[in-house]
Amino acid sequence: MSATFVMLAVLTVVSAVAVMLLRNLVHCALALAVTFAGLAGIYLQLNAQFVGFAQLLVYVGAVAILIVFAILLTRGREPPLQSVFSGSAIVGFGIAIVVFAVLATMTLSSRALGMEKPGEANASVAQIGEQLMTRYILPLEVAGLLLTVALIGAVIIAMRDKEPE
Amino acid sequence: MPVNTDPYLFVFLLLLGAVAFALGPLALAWVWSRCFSPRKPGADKNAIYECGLKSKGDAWVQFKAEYYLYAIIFLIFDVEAIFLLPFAVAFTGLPVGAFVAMVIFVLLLVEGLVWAWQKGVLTWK
Amino acid sequence: MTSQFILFSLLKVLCVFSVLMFIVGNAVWVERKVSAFIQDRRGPNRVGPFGLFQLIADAIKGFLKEDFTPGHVRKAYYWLAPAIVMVPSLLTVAIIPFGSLLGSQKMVIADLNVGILYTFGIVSLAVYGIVLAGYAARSKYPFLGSIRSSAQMISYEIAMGMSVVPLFLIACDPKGIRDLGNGWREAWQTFLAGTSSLNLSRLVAWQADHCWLIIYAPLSFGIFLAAMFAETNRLPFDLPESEQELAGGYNVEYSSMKFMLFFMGEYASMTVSAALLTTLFLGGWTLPIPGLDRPASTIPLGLLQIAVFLAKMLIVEFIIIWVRWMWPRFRYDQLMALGWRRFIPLALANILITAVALWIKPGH
Repeated sequence: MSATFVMLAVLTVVSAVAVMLLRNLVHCALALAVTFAGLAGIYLQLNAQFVGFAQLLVYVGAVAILIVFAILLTRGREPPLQSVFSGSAIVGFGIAIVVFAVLATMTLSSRALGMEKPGEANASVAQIGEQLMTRYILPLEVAGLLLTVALIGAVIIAMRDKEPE
Repeated sequence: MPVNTDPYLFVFLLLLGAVAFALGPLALAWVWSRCFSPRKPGADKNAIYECGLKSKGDAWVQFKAEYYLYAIIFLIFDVEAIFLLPFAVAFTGLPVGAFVAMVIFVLLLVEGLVWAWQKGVLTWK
Repeated sequence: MTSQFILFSLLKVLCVFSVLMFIVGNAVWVERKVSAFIQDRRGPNRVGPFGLFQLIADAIKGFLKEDFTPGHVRKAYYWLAPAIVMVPSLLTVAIIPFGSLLGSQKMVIADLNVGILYTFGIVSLAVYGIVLAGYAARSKYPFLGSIRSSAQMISYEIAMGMSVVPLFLIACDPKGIRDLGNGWREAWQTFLAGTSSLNLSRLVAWQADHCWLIIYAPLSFGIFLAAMFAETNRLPFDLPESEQELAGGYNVEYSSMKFMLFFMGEYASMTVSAALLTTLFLGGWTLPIPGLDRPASTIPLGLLQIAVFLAKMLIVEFIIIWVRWMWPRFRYDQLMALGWRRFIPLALANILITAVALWIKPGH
């Protein structure tokens, strides 16, 4: 564990906790952007340059922006003065525990744990492209289809409030 | 001791420099104003700037949903652009099938764009 | 060797920084002089010869003006926003190769192999500064201006990203540098050792080996140029500022040093985009003249190549400034229609056509 990793991990976790605990939605969205950026940093630190910058470009530059937009475009209200733990907290905790349990079992039963530490990963973008276009062509097409479906679905949902006028 | 010559070290140094450059003048100006400038606040000076008229209501108003639609389409195409770059780089070594697959991938997204266009999403009103 | 390397690299960062800042400062002067010339005025001519010291006067003014924070703003964001506008444009400069070699030092701050992806990743962060400025001001014009501006920026980011894909389609030649004799291939191969395909130095090498990419991909160049104007919020796409509609846009509530940072941020991003355009389309630091078309072997040649790069970049920047005073502003609906219904389909078509053309080209 290098110092870089520790710093990035602390940054990521602290900002992720901030996303949950802050009351002002805009603060939350920005903390989320920091979390994404921290993750990008961790990828870069693992020498996964392409994934790192893709993370930065897509998550920080697009997903978080989309969330900020969604918050700013709807009429703002002052944050509600209720307790951090709302009534649905128990349900939330339940879901969180289930998700964590699933992830933990999957990780612990993964074959990768027993394997030796792989050597310096240094896949060039060309290699990624080649693999993506040959071996992983089906996932790529499915991703393309999913993106189109997401586009159409999101537009339909967002357009609905416009129709009655 | 091995010296780290990671290029990201210099990116990080540049980041530090850039942040210092951005915050430095702000801090200096703040210190200067703290020490030397007389403070003369006033109701008019503190007021929201709106061409001299008195501001009415909250600034955080409801906006058109169009902005949000554009942001969604932006996200989708951003992801697509990410996939296009490795394709472009690996292009010359690829078999015909991969090429056709990529064309299909692009056309799928073009279809989404055409659909949005047809629905009038891309027409700013 | 390594500690020396670190020292020289630090020196490089410092030099790039100061040159960039010098250009940014003087670009303001050039802008005012050019606008004056076009509008048949004199422009700044009181401070120093030809008003050249106007820059210093402006800096002192920005510094000494009342550092005023309106009562209604959200303070933390209000202070942070100008800094966030400034940082991404300064960071982009890291991967731009502004020269070949001085001694054994490569003239680029961070020779990243993901080159262009880094650029777009960082550029996409610039939106935050503008969004935050609008949100922090808690005032109608800035808020409207910032939402408008960020929608504009994300729209053109797509067109910009897609316009560079054909460049890599064309320039990623597995055969590498051609063997033109006279140590040509060897010089380039040592220079490019350890880089991979998205690296910007490779694009420069390809352009030196064949021809500038503006010739091979003129459509890409056009889209990139237009998107560049939109990304840097310059006329004809300066909707965020549009004085007549928004009284100045997202920075209305800002004054003194904070306003100056916004102002400088604009010029910094303009300078950096000019540098990027030069590298991507105009051959970077090379010129098709023997000696200047390959990595420098001597220090004077290396310096000359840096000069070539700066000259190209400044010409592009001059054109950006010139355009501002020649063109009227687009209307917002025209801007969005142009971005989404013209540039993005065009960029996609450009990719497909380039790919097909390369495919059926004999010898593939």
